[in-house]
Formats: sequence, structure tokens, C-alpha cells
Amino acid sequence: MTLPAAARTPRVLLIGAVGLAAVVVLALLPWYVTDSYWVTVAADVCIFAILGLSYNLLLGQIGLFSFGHALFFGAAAYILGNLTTGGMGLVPGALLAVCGNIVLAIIIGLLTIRVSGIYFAIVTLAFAQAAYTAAERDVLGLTGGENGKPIEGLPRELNINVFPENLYWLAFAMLVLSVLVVWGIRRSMMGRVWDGIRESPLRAQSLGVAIPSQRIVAFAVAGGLAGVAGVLNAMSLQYATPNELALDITVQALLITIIGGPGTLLGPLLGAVFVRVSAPLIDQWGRSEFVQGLSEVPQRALTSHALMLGLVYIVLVLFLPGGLTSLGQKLRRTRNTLAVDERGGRAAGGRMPPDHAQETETSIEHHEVTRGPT
Amino acid sequence: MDLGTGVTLLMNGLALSAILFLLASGLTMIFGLLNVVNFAHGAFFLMGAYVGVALFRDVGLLAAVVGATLSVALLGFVTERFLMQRFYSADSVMTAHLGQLLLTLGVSLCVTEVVQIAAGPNLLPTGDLPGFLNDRIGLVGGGYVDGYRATIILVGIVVFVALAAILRRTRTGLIVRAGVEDADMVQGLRVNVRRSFTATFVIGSAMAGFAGLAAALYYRGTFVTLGEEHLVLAFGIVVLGGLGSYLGSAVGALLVGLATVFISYWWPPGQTFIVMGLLAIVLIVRPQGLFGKEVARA
Repeated sequence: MTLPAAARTPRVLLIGAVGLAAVVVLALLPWYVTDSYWVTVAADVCIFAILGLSYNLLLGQIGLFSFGHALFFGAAAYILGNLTTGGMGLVPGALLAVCGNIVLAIIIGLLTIRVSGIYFAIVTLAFAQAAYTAAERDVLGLTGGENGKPIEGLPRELNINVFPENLYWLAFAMLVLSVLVVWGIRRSMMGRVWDGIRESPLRAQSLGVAIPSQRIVAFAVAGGLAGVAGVLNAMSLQYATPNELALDITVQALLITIIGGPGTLLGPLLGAVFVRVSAPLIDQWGRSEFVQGLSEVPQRALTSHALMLGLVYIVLVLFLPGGLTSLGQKLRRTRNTLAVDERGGRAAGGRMPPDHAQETETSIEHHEVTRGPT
Repeated sequence: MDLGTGVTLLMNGLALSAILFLLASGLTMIFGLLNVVNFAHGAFFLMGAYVGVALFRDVGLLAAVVGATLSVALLGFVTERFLMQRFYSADSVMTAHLGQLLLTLGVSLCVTEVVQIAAGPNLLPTGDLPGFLNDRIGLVGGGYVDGYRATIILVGIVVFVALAAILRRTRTGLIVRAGVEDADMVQGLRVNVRRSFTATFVIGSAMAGFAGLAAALYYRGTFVTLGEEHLVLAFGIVVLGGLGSYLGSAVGALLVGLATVFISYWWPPGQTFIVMGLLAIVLIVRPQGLFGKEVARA
């Protein structure tokens, strides 16, 4: 649906203004959130939002269901650890780690170029699990076993225990940058092509799209973004550990994307806030008098972050597949359906399941828009 | 490595293969008919292990086998009936499959967590096994196999033969095999495919529950990451053998089980790393697996 330019410009301006205001408000967060613990949580949210953006590029944009995304998150951390313990400075180390990650992503992308669908998920899972066990058992001698690899040369200013706001700002700046990159891709021709590949690989191919090269590009960008998140996370932990390569990280990225809303720009951001803030909130609740008074098993049940996330996730998959970002849209749509009903059910608008109501809605809007200028 | 060690390792590898086969064949059956990779299969396996070990410690072996199998079968029934079936009427096949896939992942998260909540984070040991299951049976060259492992190898073979007989000889098996080929066509021939879907899911889940107990007895205890670790191996086996291929998962289970045991003898740290690495390489070279049909390549 194309709106006339006159109608489009204010919308873009509005979104831009809201976005800018949000950036300013969030950048000032350490000033009005005085408890430094919540500043570290905010930094963590930024890091996982970047990871979510990266995962969403593959799942929501080009339609690749990866089950080994932790590989890119953890690999960057280990590259940084090895470079800095080898005597390299933090900044060149971090840049090299992200570049190394991009190279790794391209290699994995090339290796898996022939597989898609569930096969792709399982091959990427196999790679990530191989990397995880290799790191945990220190097979390559580069990963320091279960203890992990320390990140050396971290200045005091970037130590999250001393100055959490500095790491927050760094992570937030990287998040803004990542959002801009993803936004640019989504608006570009390439983003449209990726949408096309996701919707129908066959159609895209017959229209002359070289799917393999598009997939490699998507992999490189997603690997780079996940690398940024992995480097920031390693700086925050001051260690690269096998946990960053574990299946749990992939599941977190998937939860963030699905809960927030796959295929949207805002989704991973909302999802990251939901997934990462709920953990400390539940912890806090677990220390409350009410929960402490319970016996062991109900206490564990009520303070289980994974169970809460799992249940929310199941409800969303069943009833709101568009994630949290589609909540407003869904409510509006329900209202519109009712409005159509009141108008006496023009055309076939009378009784329709909600899924078809969207078509009705767009067709009505379209009708009015095209009628407007003439 | 002398002959005795080799024979002992071979028997251990076969016992592990039998357990992996029980797990993987349920997974591949569900995939073959429903076209869904069941991410909750590992959690079902884990639940079977915990329910089984708890019953084994308090009641006995027979109660453990029955309890682990039936409780997980019930869980599978609930999952299929009340959650998966919601997607059967989805607009497109793509959204239905992705929805079911994502759903099984959620079920997996919840079931694993519930098991952890109920049982706590510590290892739950099985204690000694009864009767001859604890005895060592001497084999050629000084090698040996303990009674339990010999039994589980036999169980694996019996299940393999029994399932093959059901699939080849019975009407249900015929419907399942036909459903793997083309579920829509079978439905069109007035066969209630949905009932076969439920039955397959329940049987597959029951096998996962039984395999969980078998694994817990094999390791002489159960722990919370048991499900995840074996699910990854089972995925690999299923794809290695060819998704939906029953014979393939048997061969895959043998390869992975033997490789795991022998590699961990020569180079313990490299065990999972090498197995997963080899799986990844095989899958890249031959995505359709050893016995699978040609897959569509994008």
C-alpha cells in the first residue's frame, strides 16, 4: 500500500522525532536511574537487543531458522580474550574480534549454503555444539576450559562494577548504531529482496535473485552484529566463558525475537527488555517475604525465570504470533472489525474471523486513499 | 588397545547406540508423519529419566519402566491434542510448521524447568540395579559387559524388529508409511490421519520416556542437562540417517553411539566435539542424510 508523498512525510518525521526523543531519554538513563544495579541491567538489555537484532535479520528478514546463533556471540568473546591476553589493546582487539566474527560467519554461511529449513537449523546447531564442547573441554588450547579466557587490558573506566554507566553508554551507542544499520537494510533494495526470499525462495529465484550470495551477506551482517554483542558482553563479564557458546544463548535470542515480534525492527528491542529485565525482577520478588515463607518447591516454581518465559512464549506463539509489537495492531484490528460490523457489514465485512479482517481493513484504507486525491 | 578392551568398548557403544536409537526413532517417526521436528523430545526424555529413577528408587524396576513410559506418553498426548492440533488448520503449511516447531521449543523449556523445580539441581543417583543387571558377564579376551548393558542392547534390537514389523505388516503401519509419503492423499482416501498423528506422537513420546529411564540406568543417575545433551545427538542421528527414515536412525544411532564410546577412550576431551563436528560435515556434504529422500535445495 503506497501512501501519497504528502501523507508519508509527516509520518516519517513523526517516527524520527519519537525515535530521537527515545534516544535522548534512554541516553540520560544513568541520571535518573540512581541504583547502579539497574544500570548494569540496562547495559545487558542493550547487549541482548543487539543479539536479537542480529538473530531477527536471519529469522525475520531472510527467513533462515538458525539454531546455532550462540556460536557468533561466543566466538567474538573468545577472539577478544585471546587477542587481549596476547598483548593487544582493547580497542583494536574488539575491532578485530568483530571482523573475525564476520569472517567466521561467512565461512559458516558458505559451508551451509546448500541446506535450508530444518536441515539448516540442525547443521548450525551441530556447529555451535561442537564449538561449545571444544571450548568447555579446551580442545584447541585457546579457550581456557570451563573457567574461560579473561579479557585483559580493560581500563577501570570500562569496568562495569566501578562505572556501570560507561559500559551502558557504550552498549547503548552500539545499539543505536545497530538499529540504524538494520533500519538501513530494511529500507534498502537488499532488504526488500530478503523479504522476497523469506516469502518464497522459489519466486525470488525465478525473478533472478542470487539467493546464495544474499544469504552470505545476511550471514556476514548478522555475524558482525552478534560479534558486537558478544564483545560487549565479554567486556561486561571480563571473561569469555563456554556459557556464551551454549544452546541457552541461542534460545535467548530466539525468545527475544519471537516474544518481541519477528520481522520487525522494534520487536527485538521490546523482546530484549522483556526477557532480560524480567530475570532481575523475578530475583527481587524471590527475596520478598511472601516467597521466602514458602517451602522449597513452590519457591523454586514461583521464582523460575525460564518457566515464566516459556509460558509467555507458548501463549504468544499460540495467540499472538506477531509478538508484543503486534499487540497494539491486533487490538486496533479487533476494534475495526467491530466498527465494520456496526456499519452493517458492507460487502463481505459482516462476520469474519480476525485473520481476514486485516484484508478488509487494508482494502478499505486503500479505497479511501486512492479516492482522496482524485 | 587389546582385544578385551575393544570388546568391552564395543558392548558399551552398542548399549549407548540402543538408547540413542530408542530416542531417535521416536523423533524420526514424528517427523516423518507430522513433518515437525519435535524440540520437546529431549525434555520428554528428561522427564522419563526423572520419573523413572524416582519410581525405581522407591518402588522397583517394573514400576519405573511402566511409570516413565506412561507418564511421558500422557504428556505427549496432551501436547499433541491441546497444543499442536491448533496449528493443523493454519492458513499455510509454512506457518503451521514453524508454529509447531516454535511451540515444541516452548514445551521443551517448560517441561525441563518443571522437572528442575520438582527434582532440584543435583544429580539423582539410581543406586544399585537388582539381580543379574549388576553382574559382569565375561566375554572373549577378558572383555566384559554388565548385565544391564547387555539387556538394553537386547531391548534395542527387540524394539527395532517390533517397530519394523508393525510398520511393514500392520494396517496402522501402512497408514503411517503412506502418511509419510503424502498425508493429504491418505486423508483424501477417508483415513483418519489425525488419529494416526496423535497415535504416532504418543508412541514416539513414550519411547522417549523409556529411553530416558534407560539412559539414567546406563549412567547410574540422572541430571538436568541429560535431555539437552541427548537431544542434540538425536537430532544429529535423525538427520544423518535421513529425516523420517526408520532404518536410517538405527544406522545413525550405531555410528554415533560407537563413535562416542571409542573416541572418548582415545581422547576424552574431544568426544562430543568430534562427534558434532563429523555430524556437521556429513550433513553439509549430504543434507538428505544417508537414507533420506532428496531434499529441496534453496
